[in-house]
Amino acid sequence: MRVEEMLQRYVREVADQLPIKMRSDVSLELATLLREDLQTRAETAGRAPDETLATEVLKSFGPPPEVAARYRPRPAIIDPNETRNFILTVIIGAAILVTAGVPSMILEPGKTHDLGTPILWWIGAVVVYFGLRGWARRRWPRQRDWAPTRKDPDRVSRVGSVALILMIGLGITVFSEPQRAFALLTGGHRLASSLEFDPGFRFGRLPWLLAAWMWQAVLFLVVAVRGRWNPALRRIELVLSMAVCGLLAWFSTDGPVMTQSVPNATAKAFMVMITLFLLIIIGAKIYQQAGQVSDRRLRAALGG
Amino acid sequence: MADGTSFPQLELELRRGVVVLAALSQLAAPRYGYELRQALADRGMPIEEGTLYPLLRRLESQGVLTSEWRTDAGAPRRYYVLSPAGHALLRQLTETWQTLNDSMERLLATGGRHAR
Repeated sequence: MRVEEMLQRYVREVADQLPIKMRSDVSLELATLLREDLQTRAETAGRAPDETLATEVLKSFGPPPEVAARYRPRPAIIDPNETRNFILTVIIGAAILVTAGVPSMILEPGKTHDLGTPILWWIGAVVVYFGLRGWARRRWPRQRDWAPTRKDPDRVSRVGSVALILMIGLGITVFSEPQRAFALLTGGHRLASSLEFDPGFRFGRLPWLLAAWMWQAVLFLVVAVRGRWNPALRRIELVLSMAVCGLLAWFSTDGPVMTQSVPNATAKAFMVMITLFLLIIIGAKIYQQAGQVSDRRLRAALGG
Repeated sequence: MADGTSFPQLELELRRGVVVLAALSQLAAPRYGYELRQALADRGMPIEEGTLYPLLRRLESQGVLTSEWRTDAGAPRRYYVLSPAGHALLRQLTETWQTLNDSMERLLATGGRHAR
């Protein structure tokens, strides 16, 4: 390749990545500078400009995308300080989408399950969201100033806690006496025989889950009375969530849950899905709490 | 102690901070890009081509420099010179640099005594 052609290609590659109104001016200036640099190197080397010298000149200028970026710096689509949040949002969202598809994967194993498309949509949506956030921050930089929120993360809503306790109580009632609960909710109708629990599950394994739920209800009652979470209560909540998760994993792999095969397969598929959801939540909580200094030590360090 | 991999990066960051001031200091009279680069290199401040030339364009777009094409010596060249705003900026940056330089000298002198 001729030397002029090399320089010309380089200049064009830089110009291609610049705004239209800058291209011709920067191209002419860059061409002049490259030529002068090449001539000086050739004079120093005591020979005519050749491809080796031209390659040296172009290497020292740098790759065309980098040079173009120096002429016209552009902001990153995702702010560098948002990269961690961006990655976490993408991973957690993708994990939830995969988990939501688990029942159909288990119940229809021969069918093709397209998880790629929703995950790509999700990634696209997250890129747009973070891109807009970055743009808004550059447009209105004052919004970046930190300000304390009035919401105390440890304070609990007593109404919310009571509602949660009632829901757990309802769950325990429905699961321990499904026939009676169904009749009560439907005005006396009998539960179809296909929706009956397997006796081994109902009297052998289910009581463990009911006990775990009961302990969760007790925990929420304590939290509602205290009005706030503390590290010990958070740890107990995590342990109970892990226990429920472990029990559901056990139920989905050991023995029948329902007497008939189709409802049994459906129940187990949903148990697998709920287990995976719980794992995501537990993982997120562990990640959030890992390495955090206790409030007491932090207050001491702050001189409180 | 800086290891073999971190020193070049840290040195680059240190030098990057003074590139604008160094360039402005040599542009009271018009110069074209290559001539400016040579002038800086001759005074112990070599700056990569790929960094200096785009910087001149950015400073021009910010109103710190003005430029014009000249064909005095044959080949057309783009000459850059400080604008009135550029002169004011050069004064401000020079003051900042001298304050920083004084502070750093004191810091390094004190640090040197402590290190011993």
